[in-house]
Amino acid sequence: MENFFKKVFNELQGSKKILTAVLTDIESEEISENLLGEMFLFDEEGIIEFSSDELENELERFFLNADLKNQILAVGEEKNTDSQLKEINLDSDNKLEFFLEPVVDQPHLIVFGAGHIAEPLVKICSLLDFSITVVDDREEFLNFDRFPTADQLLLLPYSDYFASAKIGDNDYLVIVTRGHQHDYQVLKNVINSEAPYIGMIGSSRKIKTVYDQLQDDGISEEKLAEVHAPIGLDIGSETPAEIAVAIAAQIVAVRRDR
Amino acid sequence: MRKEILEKIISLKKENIKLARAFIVQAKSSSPRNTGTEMLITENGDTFGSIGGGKDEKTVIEKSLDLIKSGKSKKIKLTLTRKEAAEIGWVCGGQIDIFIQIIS
Repeated sequence: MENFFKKVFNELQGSKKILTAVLTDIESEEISENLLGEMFLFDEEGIIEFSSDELENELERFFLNADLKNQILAVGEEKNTDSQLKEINLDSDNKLEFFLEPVVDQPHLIVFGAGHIAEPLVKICSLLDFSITVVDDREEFLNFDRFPTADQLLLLPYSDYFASAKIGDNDYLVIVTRGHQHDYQVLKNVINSEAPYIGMIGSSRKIKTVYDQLQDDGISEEKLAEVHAPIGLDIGSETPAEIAVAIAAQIVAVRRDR
Repeated sequence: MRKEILEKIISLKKENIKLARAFIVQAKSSSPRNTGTEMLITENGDTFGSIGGGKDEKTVIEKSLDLIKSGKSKKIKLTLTRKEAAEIGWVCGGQIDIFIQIIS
């Protein structure tokens, strides 16, 4: 399967939309259970690659019926980028279920803290093609009622988040936790990451407190100077929504190399 | 599938590490946005990404380690109570289907 994933990666370098299909369920006497988890890569024009010859053979056997193929390929033409389960009735005795999803190279916004700034920020950034994760350990703030456009909500202490997550060069980080001790903890974990954007909210007094602590930990002044704090472009924001606009604008500027 | 996950799979396979990709294929809750959320689990128990943390993620990791040994992919169903659902940020309880894909 290794070569299959390399092929997907190479195809992703192009600009067209590509999708993968994973075989997630088989209801059939004829088709081997061993094919579960096998995949194929496709775009709106057709299938590009299979992860196994066996899957290819089985599908070709049934795909002589062009309707079935069209059912899957139609998903490639859809505008929305959400994933979906697709049941395919090969014939009356054979049914397959595929999980279809686009392969995406979206920038990823991670918001630490689910408070009153995060709420408008997530709304705005979901219009800017970011996939969005919000992390907080407070159940009453972190839910899809408040963040209907978030892709992922993680209810965890920040320390648990960093135990398993690795920040990469496609991650944009906004630190808006409920207190400077949490801001300090998050910033300490991400300051040496490859994140192209790290912004932290706070008054200049709070920012100084956090920076002093980090300098005591051996973080250099140059590193701290890369952090966007106070956060956001200076547009005279007053309300949470206005602050969110300023932060979003700053993130766009960094993403577009301004 | 996200590019970061794809890159991680390629680099782990280069080192010949056995792994599984677990992803949410269906969620009967008020928010469908979780569908497609994915994580990787290696034979050593290392993980990359998250499908929401908490007890259920632990279950998924344990199940993945078993499946890596047997080499067979499988769909598993988890039923969340209201409280458990709230713990991973969902509004109400329900069933989630997670597919554990063995990447050979």
